[in-house]
Amino acid sequence: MSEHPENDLRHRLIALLDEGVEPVSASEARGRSELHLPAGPCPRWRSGHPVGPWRLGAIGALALAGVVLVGIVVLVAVQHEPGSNTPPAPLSGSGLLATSTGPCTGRAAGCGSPESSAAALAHGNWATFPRGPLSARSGQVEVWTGNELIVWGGYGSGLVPLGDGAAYDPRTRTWTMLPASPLRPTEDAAATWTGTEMVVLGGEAGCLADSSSSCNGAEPTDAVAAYVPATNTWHRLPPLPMGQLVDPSALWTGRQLVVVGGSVSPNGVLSDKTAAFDPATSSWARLPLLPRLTSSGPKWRLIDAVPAWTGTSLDVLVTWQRSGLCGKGCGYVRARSATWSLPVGGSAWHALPKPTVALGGAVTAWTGRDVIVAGGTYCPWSCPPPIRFAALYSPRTRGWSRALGSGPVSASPGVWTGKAFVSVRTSRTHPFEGATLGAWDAATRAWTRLAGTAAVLDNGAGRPAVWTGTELLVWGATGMALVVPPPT
Amino acid sequence: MERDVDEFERFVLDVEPRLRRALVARYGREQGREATAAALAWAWEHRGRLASLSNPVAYLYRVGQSASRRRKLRLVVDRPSMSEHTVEPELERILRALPERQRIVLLLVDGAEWTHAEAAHLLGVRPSTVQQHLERARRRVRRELRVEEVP
Repeated sequence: MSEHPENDLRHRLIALLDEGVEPVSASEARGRSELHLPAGPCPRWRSGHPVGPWRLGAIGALALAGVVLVGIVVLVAVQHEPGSNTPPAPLSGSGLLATSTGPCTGRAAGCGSPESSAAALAHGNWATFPRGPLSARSGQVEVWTGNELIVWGGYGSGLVPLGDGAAYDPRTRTWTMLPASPLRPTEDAAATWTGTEMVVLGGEAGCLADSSSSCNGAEPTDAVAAYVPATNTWHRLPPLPMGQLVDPSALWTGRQLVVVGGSVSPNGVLSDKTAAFDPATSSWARLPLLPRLTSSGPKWRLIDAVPAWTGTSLDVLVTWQRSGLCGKGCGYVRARSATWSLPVGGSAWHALPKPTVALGGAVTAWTGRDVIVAGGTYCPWSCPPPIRFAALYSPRTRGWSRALGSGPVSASPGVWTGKAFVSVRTSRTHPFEGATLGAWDAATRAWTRLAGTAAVLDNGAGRPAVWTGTELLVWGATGMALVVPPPT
Repeated sequence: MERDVDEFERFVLDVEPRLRRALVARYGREQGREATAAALAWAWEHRGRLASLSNPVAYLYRVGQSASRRRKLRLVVDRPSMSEHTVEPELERILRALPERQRIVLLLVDGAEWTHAEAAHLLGVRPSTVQQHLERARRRVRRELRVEEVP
C-alpha cells in the first residue's frame, strides 16, 4: 500500500533536514549555560569572558582557583599568540590616512547639536512620521546625510533581498524614492555617509539566473556603489579588495572608508582582512590582517570585530571563539577577546589593554576623549550574563573604566549624537520584550533612561536609525521621531 | 533541581527537533545546530518562563536567530555534495525552484513540523495564508517528484 504523498514528502523533507545533524540534547543545552570545572579530556565551558564574580561565589574556591588559573593561561596566550605568526600585509596605495579628531569626525551635520545631550533627549517627545513608500523590512542600510534619512535594501516579508530605497526629509515630512541602484537587491550590507554620498558595500545579494547551485536565494557579494543625493544618481565603485563579505563593519574616518570584519562563510567565520577606500583616488588600500589566535586543538574562529575610529588610530575589538561537541552529549564554547590598534600610517597592529566588557555585537563611538563600548554579548542572554554597564577606553591613559548605570544589557544598535550615546536596553529575561532606550552622556558620564521608549519599541517601530540634530528617528513597521526641543 | 531537569528533558524532546530543523533549514547544518544549542541553553537558564510562552518554538527560533548573529531567513538547505545520497537527490533542486514564500512554509511545516499557527506567528501572516502557500508548494513538489496522488 503506497503512502499518502503528503506524508511521503514530509518524510523526505525531514530526512533532508536531519541528514548529518546530531540532535541537541537537554544535557548539552544545560552544559552550555552553566559554569563547569574543567573535567577530564573534555572540559565543558560557558563562554569565556567576562566570567563575572557574581557567579563564582556559589561555585566555591576550587572553581575560582580553576578559573583564575585558566585566566592566566588565556591572558598569556592572548598577549603572545595573536599576530606573532602573521606578518602584516604590506600597505599599498594610501594606507590609513590621518584626519581631524573629535566626537563628530566623519559624522553628518547635526552631530553635537545643543539638543544632543542626554538631558535634552530626556525632554523629547515622541511623534509619528510617515512610514513612506518602502515595505517593512530588516537588514537594510540607513544613513543620515545631514538633510535626509536614506534607507536602502534589506529583506522583507517575502524574505528575499530588496533593491529599492527612499529618502525621508524631516523638514517636509516627505519621502522620495531613490533611482534604481546598480547593485543587485542586497541585505546585510554596510553603508556609511562620506559627506557627499552614501557608500553601500558587501552583504548578500539576490541570486543571478546563472548563479552557482550553492546560491541559496542570496549570495555574498563584493560589490560597492555610491548614491549621490545632490545629483540623485548612483555610481559603481571598485569592488571590495578582500572579496565577498556579509554584514561587514564600515566607518568613515573623515577621509577614508574603512572596512573591518564581515562573514566569509555560512558558518559565521569573519574575515581577518581590513581595507581602506580613499574617494580622492577611488582606490582601495589593504591594511594589515587582524591578528590571529592559534593554539593546538580546535581552530579558533574570529567571530566579532568591532571597529572604532579615534582620529589617530583604528581600534578594533576582537573576539575569537571555538566550540564543539565532547562526544558524550556535552558541548563547549570558549571565547577570548582582545583590543588592537592600528595607528595612522602604521604597518602593524598593537595590542591594547584587555577590555572589560563582552565585545560581540557591541557598538562603539569616539567621544573625543574616550572610546565608548556599549552592549555586546556573543552568546546572548546566557553566557555571560547581560552586561549592565558600558566601558570606556582612554587612549591617553591606555586604561579601561566602566560607565555605570542603566545602560544597555545586550547587543543592540546604538546611535551617537555627538554628546550622548543612545542604545537599546533590553530586559534580562525578556529578550524581545520591554526594551527601552537609554542615553549615556559623555560630559556627565551618566545614563539617562528615555521616557516612553518601551511603547515605541514594542509597537514595532524598529530600531534607532539616525540622529538628525533635533530628532532621533526610529524607523521600521512604523516611523517614530523623538523630537527634542532646544535646551532653555 | 531534579524536577527541573526532568521537565527540561521533556521540553527538549518536544521542541528540539522542530527548532533544529527550522534553524538548519535557515543556516545550514553547522550554524543551524549551533543556533539550536544556544537557544536551548537560553531556555534552560529561563526555564521558569517556558510555561508562560504561548509559542515556545517560535520564540526560541528568534533566540537562535539572534545567537547566530545572522538575521536572514534563508530556508534552503546548504547540503554538501555527497557521493551517497540518503535523501531524494532531486529534492534540493526542486526546493530551490520554488517561490521563496512557498519554500519557507513548506520547510517549516512539512520539514520542521511546525504548526500552521507557529509558522504564521513567525512570518507575520495569517494561518490561512500559510495553508495556501503550503498547498501550492506541495502540489508543485509532488508534480516535480512525480509522486502520484492517492485516489
